Amino acid sequence: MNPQGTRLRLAEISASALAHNFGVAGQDSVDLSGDAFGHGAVAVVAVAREAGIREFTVGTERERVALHELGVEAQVRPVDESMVIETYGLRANAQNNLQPVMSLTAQVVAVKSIEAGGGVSYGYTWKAPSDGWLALVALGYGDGFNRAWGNRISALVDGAKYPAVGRVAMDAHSISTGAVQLEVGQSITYLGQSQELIQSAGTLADAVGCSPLAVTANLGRRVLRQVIS
Amino acid sequence: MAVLKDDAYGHGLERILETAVAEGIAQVAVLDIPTGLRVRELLAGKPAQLFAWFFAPGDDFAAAVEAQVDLGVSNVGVLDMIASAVAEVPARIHLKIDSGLHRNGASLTQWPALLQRARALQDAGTIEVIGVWTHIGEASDVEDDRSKEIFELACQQAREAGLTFTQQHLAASAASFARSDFRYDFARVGGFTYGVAPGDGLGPSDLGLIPVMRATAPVIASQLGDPENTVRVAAGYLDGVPDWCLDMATGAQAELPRTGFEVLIADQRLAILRVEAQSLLVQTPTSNTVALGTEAVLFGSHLAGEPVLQEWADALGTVGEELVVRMGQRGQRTYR
Repeated sequence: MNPQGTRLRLAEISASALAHNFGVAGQDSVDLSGDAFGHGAVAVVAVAREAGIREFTVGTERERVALHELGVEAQVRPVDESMVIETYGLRANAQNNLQPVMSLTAQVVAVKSIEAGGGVSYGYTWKAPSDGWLALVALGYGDGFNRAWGNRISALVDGAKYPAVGRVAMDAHSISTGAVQLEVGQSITYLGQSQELIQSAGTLADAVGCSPLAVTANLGRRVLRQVIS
Repeated sequence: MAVLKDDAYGHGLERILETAVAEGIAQVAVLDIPTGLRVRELLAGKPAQLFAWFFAPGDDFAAAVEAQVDLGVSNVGVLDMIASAVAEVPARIHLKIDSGLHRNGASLTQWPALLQRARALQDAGTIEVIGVWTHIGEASDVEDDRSKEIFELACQQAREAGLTFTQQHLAASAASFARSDFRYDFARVGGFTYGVAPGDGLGPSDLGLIPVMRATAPVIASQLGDPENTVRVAAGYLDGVPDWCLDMATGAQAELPRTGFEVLIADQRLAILRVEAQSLLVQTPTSNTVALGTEAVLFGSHLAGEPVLQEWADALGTVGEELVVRMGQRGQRTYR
């Protein structure tokens, strides 16, 4: 359910990237644990079947039963983290010939000017080094956007990187765009590609020392999953 | 005003709303218009003031106005969009001043133009200005006092612009509790509604709060070797259990075990050694045997001698709210 418009918080799942990664990794089974690590198990199953993969696994009996009710038979097997990272392209980069399966974007909901020295969000943990612009983006820790990412990661816009600044709130966080004024409604990329730049789940994970699997698997229910071909 | 956004902080909107209404709560903060419409529907005719302030491109303002969802507005553009969506009943508006957080809210420079537009629309009968509000940091008294000064000034200017609003509100949980002079007409209480304490050593028992969420998982494996004397508990980072190990104060990666990041098994607090995809590896005392299926309490209530959420939050350098919304979306919920 995303009645606020499909682009507000959007995770696009690339069928072609998934099929490509299957080929590179030479896989014959796919792990669907944690709703396919946040990608959506039903969508991943459809793509996998098209790519000729018939074998599915999950980490727990509870998940096996839930998938069975959806008409998908899976075997129970512990999660193999490195296999999952390959399948879903969670550390995809220009060198390893893997492609990120999920791209995550969210829209700007407000823009604001800030004067040099002005603080942002709770505790004013970031202060503007010079006069400039901020954009408030519709992803917060309620969406699985890690609260510790504030002041630690960047967002991609039109091939440029802008830092997430200040404390992440439950429903939004701010990015500092310097002299550039973004517009309300503009899509900001957190996972995936923006012109020459790629940001993977691995980059976001490494910023706070968590698993890349946790990054995509913990995206919240408000983030719409949409399969693209 | 009870804040029931984000599926009631991961506790489940329907049940929390039902309980809140039964306890006499008649003001609900819903965050966005879709949630406002949903809550209006769930209320099934019972009267309540609903308040939304987080808008997105494509929002259905007409439906919000018709459902009498109060709207928190920060700029002239949004005010005009709302006004043009009004059919019969006027839109109920709360004007927001930015008192320092730089997230939304009109700045003091933009404020007069917003007041002027609001006055014109009110005179035309399309909107009714119900309130003036802001959001404050609640991180230091000095900064909060400065925010309050800005808020007071904004309210005064609104009155001078001829607006006769009846609701002034700026405090959330922490300020509503600690600063009686910050309460005005009402406070928007989120975290404390759910018994989520502010942290930094301040737990629910210090404030007379009772935690609403209790998280448990069964012991699924017991092992004596490699690593020695450990058990596995069936909850991991795919279930929302935090697996980042960052010391927020220093920015350094911190290792487990960490004081406070513990579970309660058979009346013993045991340290978490590792957070894996679907399980926690927990240290047990030497020669301790734990029966499979034994319930491990991740966090619960101090009244039952259980570890509380705030201990986890403090150990991981975050706030309890992050953990309840994260884990509450994924666990199986039961109510008692």
